[in-house]
Amino acid sequence: MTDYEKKQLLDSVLGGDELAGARQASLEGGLRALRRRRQGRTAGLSFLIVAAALVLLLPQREQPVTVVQEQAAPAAPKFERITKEQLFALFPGRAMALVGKPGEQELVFLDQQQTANR
Amino acid sequence: MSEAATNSVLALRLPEISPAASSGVAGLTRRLARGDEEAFREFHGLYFSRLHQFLLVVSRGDDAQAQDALQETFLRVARSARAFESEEVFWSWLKVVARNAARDCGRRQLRYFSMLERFTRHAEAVVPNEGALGDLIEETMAELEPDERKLVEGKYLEGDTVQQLSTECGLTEKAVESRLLRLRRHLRERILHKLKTQ
Repeated sequence: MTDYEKKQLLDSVLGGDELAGARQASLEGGLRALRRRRQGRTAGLSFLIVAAALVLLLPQREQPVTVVQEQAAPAAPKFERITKEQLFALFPGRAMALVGKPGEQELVFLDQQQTANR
Repeated sequence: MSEAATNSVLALRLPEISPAASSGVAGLTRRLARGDEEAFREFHGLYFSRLHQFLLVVSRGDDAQAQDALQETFLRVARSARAFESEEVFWSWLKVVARNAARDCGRRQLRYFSMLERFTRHAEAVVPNEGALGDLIEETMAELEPDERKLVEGKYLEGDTVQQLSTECGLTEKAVESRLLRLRRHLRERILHKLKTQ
């Protein structure tokens, strides 16, 4: 008897109708496990995508907060640049002079000195 | 079932699968690994009988245990299938999966005998020879009466129809069907018995 003939006989003798239930059950069970595996893989992939999206989006969400902080920070008094003439005009009738290098000048009231000297 | 017994049957030679299936194993296992349901149906169709016969030998003729292990094997394959380039390697992997499934099912079923097993584990178990099932079917066929053997060979090897066999044997078709069923059961029982007592 050849190997092929033995296989044919074994398949017929051992794999008859008695195995029909086991055949069907193992097929269905395997297919269910396969679907669960696929679903698990899809769920894992979805989780990774969501996690990646969160990682990418979170710093962007924080950025507006820092912008707000930056805008709120310069709440210091505002300065307005004026000319020498505008400055002198603020003190009419007073004797005064700007002393020092440009950019570091000080306004000195000359009549006050006089008063002090007196 | 003892560890020695499960390890030893790994060397068992069972009838080879068709070359067509062998050549397509790389594609089949790749699809299986991707979770392709059609691939699983194909795999199930190709390997069901082969795995069942392997597990019958592993469980030493205990068909109930072999069927439980078979269910578990298909579940495990579905859960952890991966790609294989050659049929030989794939079959080796399947044998490991099936053997582990049989061992785990055996543990569950035979917890009651665990102590007995512990006492007998050290003893060298008599294990089936290589090609045990092939030898057993040949041996069991030789035990049949010539007319019975002719009937079985005509039906399962030569592909004769029941009608042809009834003409050849001078029996009614119903009688041929009945004798074939009885002979098939007899052969099955003899093979399982021999596996148990081997």
